[in-house]
Amino acid sequence: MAFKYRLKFAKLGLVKFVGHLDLLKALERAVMRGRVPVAFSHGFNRHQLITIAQPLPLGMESVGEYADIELARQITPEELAERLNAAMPSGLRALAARQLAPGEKNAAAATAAAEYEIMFEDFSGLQERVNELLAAEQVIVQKKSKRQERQADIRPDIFKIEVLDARRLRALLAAGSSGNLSPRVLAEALARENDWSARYRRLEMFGKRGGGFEAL
Amino acid sequence: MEIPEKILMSVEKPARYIGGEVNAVEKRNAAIRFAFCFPDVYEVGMSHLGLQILYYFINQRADTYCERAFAPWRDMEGVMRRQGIPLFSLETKEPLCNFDFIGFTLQYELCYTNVLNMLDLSGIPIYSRARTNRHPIICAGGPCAYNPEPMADFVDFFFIGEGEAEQGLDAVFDRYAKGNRREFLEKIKDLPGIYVPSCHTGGTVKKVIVRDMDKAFTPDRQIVPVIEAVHDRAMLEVFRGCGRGCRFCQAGFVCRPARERSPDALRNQAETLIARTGYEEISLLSLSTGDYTGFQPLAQVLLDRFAGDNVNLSLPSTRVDAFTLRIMEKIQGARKSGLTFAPEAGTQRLRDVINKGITEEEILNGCGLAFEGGWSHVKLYFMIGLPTETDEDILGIADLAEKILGVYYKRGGKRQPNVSVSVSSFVPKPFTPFQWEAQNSCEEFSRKQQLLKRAIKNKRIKYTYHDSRMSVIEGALARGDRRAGQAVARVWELGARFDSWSEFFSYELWERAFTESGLAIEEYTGGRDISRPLPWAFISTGVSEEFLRSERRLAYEGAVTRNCGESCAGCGADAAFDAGGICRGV
Repeated sequence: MAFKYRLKFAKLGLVKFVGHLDLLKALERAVMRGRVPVAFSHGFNRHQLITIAQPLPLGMESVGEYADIELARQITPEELAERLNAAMPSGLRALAARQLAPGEKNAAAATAAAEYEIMFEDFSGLQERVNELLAAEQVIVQKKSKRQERQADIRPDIFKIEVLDARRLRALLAAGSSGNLSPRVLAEALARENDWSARYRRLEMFGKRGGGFEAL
Repeated sequence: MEIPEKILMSVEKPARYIGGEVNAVEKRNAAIRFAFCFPDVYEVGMSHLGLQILYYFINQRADTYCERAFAPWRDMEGVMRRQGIPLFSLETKEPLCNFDFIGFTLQYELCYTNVLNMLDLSGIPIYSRARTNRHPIICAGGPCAYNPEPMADFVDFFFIGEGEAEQGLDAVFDRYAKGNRREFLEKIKDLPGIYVPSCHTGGTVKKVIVRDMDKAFTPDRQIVPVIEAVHDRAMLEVFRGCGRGCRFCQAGFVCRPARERSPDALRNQAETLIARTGYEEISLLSLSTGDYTGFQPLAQVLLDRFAGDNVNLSLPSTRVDAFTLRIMEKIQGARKSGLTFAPEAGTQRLRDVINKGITEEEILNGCGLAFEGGWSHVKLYFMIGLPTETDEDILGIADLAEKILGVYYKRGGKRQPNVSVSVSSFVPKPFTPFQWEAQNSCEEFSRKQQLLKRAIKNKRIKYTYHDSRMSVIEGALARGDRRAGQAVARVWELGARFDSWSEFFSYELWERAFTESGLAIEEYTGGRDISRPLPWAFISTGVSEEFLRSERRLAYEGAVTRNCGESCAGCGADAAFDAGGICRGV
């Protein structure tokens, strides 16, 4: 009998410089310290059944991270969050938890979009530039992977951009296996050749529901 | 101080510099601020048990706040220098120059340049004599402090021994008053274990130790690093010191007498450490864990207690018998990582010379048992350049590896076996019976490494060896005197950093630094006249020089000295610490 839970958590402050694998380790150790009755995999190298929905790029904050955790016995979602919060390292915080419905897709598979706040240090004419970008049929950028650089059109991966003030915007971007756009790539596309550095915060992650999106 | 985020975004592994780990201490309004500095990168320093002990020991004091700093990696150093950012502590990001004390742990000689670099990055003059009352007091301890001379021009005072001892660091803080460094150093210069180079007028500095390991300060938690450390697990120190008396081993002699912790204390400590760290693995630490008196019941108790919680045990497998194997079968991943033996020398004759109490028969029997139990991977550690060594001893390493393979096939092993042979270069160290010996030259080490390479023919034997040129510099510094410090300062000026990292180590730079300081490396690595005093003779570890001489004679005769647990060899440590035979239980 498996009891699957979805945890929503925040990653704020300097802990944003802790990478994906180390973050997973930090969660696992918080699970142990908090005496969460986590389930372990069977087999030769046993490990906790925790998966993070999607890696967050190093240096970004988030108030909308998700992880799936499988427990060996049932506890209330509130207890899961409380136990974790009593044991989390500074900057990590459980925001909410819910028990997954039978047959519900795991967080990684369900992820289809993510919303980010991008805070530029400086940007002249942000609204105009956003309008221009949204009006374009194609937005071609150089996408760097480990091996090669290639040109890609990111326009289909931009679902929505809302300018908040002269330096800040909120963007809903494709996320997950069937298309993924990093807010950094978007920020660079907006800034073009200008060296306008930005800070990023993931706000929420979504799965598909009907014709729209629903928070994970 | 706030660290600009852009800087952290521009360096490798920025989490090295952020602090905020689970169990890190927060404190306000402490009168005395102490920066514990580990002169290597975060992941290395955070693996060190001594840091964890002293961090919590010092932080027990309400009036003192102990924070940490590590050597910034070269990319970070570059950014800091370009932007004028001083070295800061992880806890409060306070520049180190604003602390009362900066304490370095000297774990290996090749980190000396990092000590100077960390001082310089803090805006503190590297030479003690150039510092004024507005600068922090610089202190140092750790194994390399047993020969403090090469660092004596840079360090205001050394602490010799175990800081958490009753007569340890507390006495230093109790005497501290801000403002006048000279007055303060005068006040502490005669305390047990304290060596103040600028006030030393002769006399012996005797190391300070914990007498009863169960009563000694032991932290009930560990700082859990935010990025994976080299050793990232709960550390249980089962005993301190060692009764084996391997004649090359500095730790084995300077940490005497051997003192055990009781199984009950260890079990309780394991319980609280796991609860407070969330670690998935416990490691039993000491210089030779298999020698712990209650080793079997302890391992069994820990396995039984933690198996249900999916907490794994890690055991150094120095002694392999049926019991250890049974235990190891229950340990996750043990088969994969294989068995480890440290015969150190290739022939029984040479093993007797170095008093390495392990016989070929024991190794082969241990391997046989392991192979029957399904193991197929054996790791062997050796040293070359040992006193009295001949080519026959070198070739003996290849023979032993072949014999182990033979055992595997004879026992009908079905998989492809792997025997790794890892060879390091012998470094004569102070306070060992070999402290007067000549070290092999780089050329001699290379010749021996190649000799062994040619002798190993079987493809199932994987042979690796270390850069012997690093060992030669290590050797020159280990037995250095006050003048050797000039070479350290010079090589640092020339740009040397992270010398214990092979990618950064430059022998040519060190050679140049020695030459420009009017010194020769060979002067330090050569044999020493046994009738003349050694630069570290004023330090007392409790083990008498007379005993070291007698061990040296026995080495030449190939005569072994028994483990302290079997019979007392009269090294002097028991009497020096009025220990009442505490070392005889081990």
